[in-house]
Amino acid sequence: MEDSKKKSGIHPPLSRRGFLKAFGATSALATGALLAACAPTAPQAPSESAQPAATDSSAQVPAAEATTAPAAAEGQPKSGGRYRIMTENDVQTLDAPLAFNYEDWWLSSFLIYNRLYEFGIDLKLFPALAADFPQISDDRLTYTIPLRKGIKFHDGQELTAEDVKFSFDRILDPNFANQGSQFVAILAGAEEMKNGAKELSGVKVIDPYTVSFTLTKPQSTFELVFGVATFGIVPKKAVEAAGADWGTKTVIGTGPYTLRDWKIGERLTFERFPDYWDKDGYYLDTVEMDVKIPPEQQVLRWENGEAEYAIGYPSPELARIMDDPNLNGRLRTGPTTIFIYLSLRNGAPLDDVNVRRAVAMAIDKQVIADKKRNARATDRLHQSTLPNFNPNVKNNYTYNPEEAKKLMAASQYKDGAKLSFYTFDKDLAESVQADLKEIGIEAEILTGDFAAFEPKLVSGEIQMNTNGDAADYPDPDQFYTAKYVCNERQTSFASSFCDQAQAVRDMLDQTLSLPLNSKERNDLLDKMESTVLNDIVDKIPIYERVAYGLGQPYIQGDVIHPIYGLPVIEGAFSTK
Amino acid sequence: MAGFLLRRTLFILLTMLAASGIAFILTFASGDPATMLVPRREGEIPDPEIVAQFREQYGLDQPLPVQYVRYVEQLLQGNLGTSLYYRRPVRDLFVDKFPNTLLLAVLAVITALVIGLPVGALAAVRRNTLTDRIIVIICAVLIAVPAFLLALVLVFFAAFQWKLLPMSGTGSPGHLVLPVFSVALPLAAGYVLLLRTNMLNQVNSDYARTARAKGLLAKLVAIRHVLPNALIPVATVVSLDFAYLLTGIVLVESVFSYPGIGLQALQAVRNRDVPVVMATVLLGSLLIGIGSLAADLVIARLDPRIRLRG
Repeated sequence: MEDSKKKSGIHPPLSRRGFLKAFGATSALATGALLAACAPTAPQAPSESAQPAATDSSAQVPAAEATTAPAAAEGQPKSGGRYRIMTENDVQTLDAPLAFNYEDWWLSSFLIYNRLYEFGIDLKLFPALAADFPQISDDRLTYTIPLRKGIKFHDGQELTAEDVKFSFDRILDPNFANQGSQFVAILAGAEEMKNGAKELSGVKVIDPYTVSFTLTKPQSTFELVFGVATFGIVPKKAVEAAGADWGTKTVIGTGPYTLRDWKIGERLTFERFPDYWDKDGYYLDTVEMDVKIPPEQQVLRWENGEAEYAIGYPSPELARIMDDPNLNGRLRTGPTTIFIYLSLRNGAPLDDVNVRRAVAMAIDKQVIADKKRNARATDRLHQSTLPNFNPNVKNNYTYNPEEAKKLMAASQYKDGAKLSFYTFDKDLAESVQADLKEIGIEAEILTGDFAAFEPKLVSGEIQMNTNGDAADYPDPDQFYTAKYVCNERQTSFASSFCDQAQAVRDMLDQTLSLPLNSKERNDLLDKMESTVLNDIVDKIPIYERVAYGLGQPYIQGDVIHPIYGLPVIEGAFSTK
Repeated sequence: MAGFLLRRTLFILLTMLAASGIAFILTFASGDPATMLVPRREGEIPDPEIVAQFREQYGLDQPLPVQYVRYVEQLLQGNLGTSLYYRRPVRDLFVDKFPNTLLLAVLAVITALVIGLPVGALAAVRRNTLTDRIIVIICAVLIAVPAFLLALVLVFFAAFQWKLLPMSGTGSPGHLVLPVFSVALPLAAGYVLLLRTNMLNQVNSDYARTARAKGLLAKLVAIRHVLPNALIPVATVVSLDFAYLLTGIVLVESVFSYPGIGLQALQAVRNRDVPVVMATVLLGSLLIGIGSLAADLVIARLDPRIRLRG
């Protein structure tokens, strides 16, 4: 279990860059500053799928090997030191259920809060605040969970089952809009909460160290939900006392680090929590996050040694670093569950399945991945990092421009077609546009804030868009939950091929009552993927994101977690 | 005088009201704020049900006129609202960031004056010499080059190549040097050229000729008589520049990740954080109004020929 969390480090010496390289970087900074000033926040790595954490040893775990990133730690771990991480985005909140962007997520998950269960870097679930795995009733509706005793919050209060119940009640409070609610709407009493009930009947305190969860119907992935970052356990008394200041001025969890200082829009500083219940493996005295640093500047500051880790960098800069033997070794790398795909909507010319298949076969994904460098071309919807990924599922519509032309010729749009293409990824957009032109489709590229384009996506006025998913928990069922549904609820991400979507939905519903890692369930998931890839053809996978972080040679053990694509603090230490 | 102040105050208030109304409409016209504000990973599409819940929670589901009236009502009670992004009072955000912008603006203006006034006077006194021409060319370049580009050049040499100063951020006096000079140098260049031109115009005026005819040295005439008169337009420009800088120096703050209200405003616009955008616009229009008023008062004080009328 502990092993599942560990990692290792990599490190080469700092190099001096030549004038041209540096000037290139500075020029990039100029562009970045302009873009920052003029451009709206562009979507980048959408998410929504998932993956199963294998709680049983029989589950295949390719993720474990795939997640290998930094090399094994060479020095002896020692306490002390600082770990400063730079990021382009700002931290919005430190309230666990609201922490949904990557930065908030990372801080909530790895520093401030614990969940009942958590995912190791091999994506296996292990008990954290829970003392053991849940006891699941025969009807698979009730999960009884024992809690560890003696766990302290940062304010000295002891964790009890009341805090756990409060944390879940709060998430389903209809006056508290948060992303966590979508994962636990299946809990008994969730509907009553919408109608004014004060607490969730489906979460019960059995005794101070035991809590039970009751579902309205079986859901095989429910135990994985406990590991989702938004389910950090918060202290009931402190939250109630803090009122509106909770999550901003008052931040208290059971995690290994406590918030010392938060300069909004600048830096957050955390220090080691001396009473942490699982101290082994936490060596760094302070962890800092510098926010709102443009990627170009992150690279320069990283090279200057001003931070231990940089998340962001422009693609050309990554290429430069990867090609520089003096810098390359400082990269932290590992696979993620993030993947990017094209979403096609039901309107001319994509109402003809031959056109959709032609589009799928026209796009040279390898060119896109090569251009981005931090990407791996894929023909699959299920991420290869997921434990139940089956490499044998076949996509019949992979890159083959000649076949694509034949499909176009056989379609009702054989004389050519036009479509609108909304995207947040300009590199990808240009490549896709050129590929589609080859088969007679003229794609008009639209970019900008998602908010401005969403209505047109819902209405079908825009026929194609770039989208992305990342696993909240390691199972692919999440990918289908909101997308393959056929009802009156119109969204920009739901499949617009309603009848076929319903067929996928029916299969998804069947998976819910099957044991998590059963062959029957995995076969159904494979069939769902095949149906979308080969029959509906409304999602065209493009690439999986490979995480690259800019680390420092004197830091070891900061391995990248595949779910977050960010470094794990446990096990990281400084040799300085 | 009292009438003048009253009229200008009313004008400022009307400007603020109009600016806030326009900003309100534009912020909503560019897309649904709730879609951008629901916490999410970048690029992810938030669930419409949660977006709807968010709208309801923050009153964004109400018709725009209702929302605006509510906003003005709370404003009249001295409440700037709560940031939808940070979930903190907007007032707290400004209390936190405005001192940074104020410090940058004050230091930049002082630096610009310290450089600009002597150099401008020198250029005027030595008009048509090599010194004058070099000064004029340098100033023209500094004015022509965008501030952010100048900032990048400074970063490249002072921080990246020579490692003399920190590249960005805050925390020490050294962090201020590059942002201050990035703002101050173009300002100083403007003051140099303005002062030089004014002094050259004044040098040929009757009172200057008279002073010289009485035997006063040309340099003394320039310093004692010409310079004070030539400074009047500069004072006007400085007042307006200062007010403008206080509203946030977006590009420079962005290049240096300097945590002022300019950078904050930029992010608020990107995130559709309506209350913060509104507060920024209100503060901006207020400061520009006050700056303009201050400029008029300064001119009236410096130039006895000018009378303020109500």
